Amino acid sequence: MSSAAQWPATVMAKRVTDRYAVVTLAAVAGAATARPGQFASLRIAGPDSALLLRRALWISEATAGGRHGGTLSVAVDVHEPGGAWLTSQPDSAKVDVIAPLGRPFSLPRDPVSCLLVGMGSASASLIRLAEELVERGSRVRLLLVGEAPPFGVLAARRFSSEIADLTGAAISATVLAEAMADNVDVVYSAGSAEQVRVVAAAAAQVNLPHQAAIDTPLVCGSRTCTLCAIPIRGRDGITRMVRSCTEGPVFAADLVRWDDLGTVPGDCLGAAAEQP
Amino acid sequence: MSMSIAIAGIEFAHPIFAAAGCAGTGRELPPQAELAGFGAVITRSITAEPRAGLPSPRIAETPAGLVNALGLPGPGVEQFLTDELPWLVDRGVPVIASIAADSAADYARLAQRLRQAAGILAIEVNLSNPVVEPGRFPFAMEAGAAGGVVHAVRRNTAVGVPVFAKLAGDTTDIVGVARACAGAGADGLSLINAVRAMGIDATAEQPSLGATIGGLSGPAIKPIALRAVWEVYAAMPDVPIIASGGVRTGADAAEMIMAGAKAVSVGTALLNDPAAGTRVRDELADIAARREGGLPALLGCAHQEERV
Repeated sequence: MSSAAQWPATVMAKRVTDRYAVVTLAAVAGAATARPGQFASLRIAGPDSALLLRRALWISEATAGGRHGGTLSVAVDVHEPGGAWLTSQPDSAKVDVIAPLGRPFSLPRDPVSCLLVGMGSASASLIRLAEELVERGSRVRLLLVGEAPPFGVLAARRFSSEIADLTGAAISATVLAEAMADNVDVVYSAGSAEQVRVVAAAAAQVNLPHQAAIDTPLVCGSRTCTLCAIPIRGRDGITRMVRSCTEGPVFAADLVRWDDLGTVPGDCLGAAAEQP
Repeated sequence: MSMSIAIAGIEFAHPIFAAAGCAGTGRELPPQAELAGFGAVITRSITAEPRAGLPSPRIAETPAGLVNALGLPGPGVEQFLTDELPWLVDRGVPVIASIAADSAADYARLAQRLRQAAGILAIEVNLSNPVVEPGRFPFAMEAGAAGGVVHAVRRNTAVGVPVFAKLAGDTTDIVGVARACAGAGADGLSLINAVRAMGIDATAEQPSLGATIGGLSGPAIKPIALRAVWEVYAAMPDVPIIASGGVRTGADAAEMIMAGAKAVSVGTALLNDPAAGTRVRDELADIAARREGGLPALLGCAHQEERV
């Protein structure tokens, strides 16, 4: 169902910037097919590690082939135990990687005016998106938000001069409404469910199409569990618990049941049979 | 050297299985996981109706383990039969169907529905799902309840399709429950399920899991699984055991076999390393190759007369 491959990759470089780091891995078999919005799943430490959950990390950059046999850069929160381990690895250390995973952003066929709203390390998923949109002639404006200096500002400057760096600010309806009023055709966002939800409400208010990449922490990242399931209303009107690691992490925001995140809504398919 | 085994008359190419619920539907595993490379894949527990599962968070990381409360999410038996099972069978995957229900009568109906399905080598009766409604206990906690369900499933399962009962590691008298299941017609026992447990999120000052109580799996429970296998094998050496609980290396699998397991399931390790099944198989093959008498000589070999 996917071209994702499991591979022992090599740590090639690390760039730590305050809270976040970008770790670049070489010899990643699936790097050539990685698309904006997809993520990589990394095993934390070796076979004897007490940290059993793989980490699902946003892909910020990907290169195919070349001297290093395909590279992937992933965004890491250095305050999280798995992120701390990864950034402590020396260059040339081996890390077990499965990539690329998940459903990517869809790109518009024709040039349009796009607003990209990135929050926390999830902003990494917007960097390559911005690059591709600009290549296709679209106008790209970025709104980057975070407790720490927003992730990806430097990288994004390569593709767009319209960047709002809102360090220390929470995402607010007012800021979003203002940004969306400025000739926007499409909204893309990436962040935690709580953050993206605010963007979804603002986009819905002005009837803008919105694709949201939802950051679900601590998923298994190997797609075999159902830990990251969220309620999604299908085009057929039926709500299903859908894995954000396979059917997501990018969703059409109008299909997500934002008010019911963290729950299994009573009208969801299969909700009646709650306990065996 | 041959790694093949026979359990209740069914031949398996080797003794390393995928534990119930840990290989997804099979499709999600990356190609390196070699689904057909498992001795058998035990499906997630199939239920009669679609189930959405429990509220999130559904998992928490703990030292050398995971606590999870998924709530047996899945599309139900009809989609399993029309979609998931044929997909596995087409790929030559030996399938053991795990089933879960609320009552002996519901288990019986489920077994009946699976009866004609081509490609199911055996049924595993999940009697020990750690997530139950408050005030209730898993069937596996009580010999009479466990035996009643096994009897109902056995009666509704074709002759020649073995029925395995999956028991709980935190039962007071696991040998008593195992005897009741064998007496009710179980052809083998799967030992053990995730152990009932919970976590507290100290920052949020609330339980880590949406459902509060879930099951602990991973290396943290391997010693509990070993003890369960040991006790049941010592009491009933002729009843085949499929061991599970914290196995992530060939050496772990060998320990389970030395305690009395005929086969060994890899579960949580697959979430950490989807290719763990084939790796554990190869590591176990190396261990068996170095042992005089090979794999058969390892079975129960830790039970020396003077220690029992």
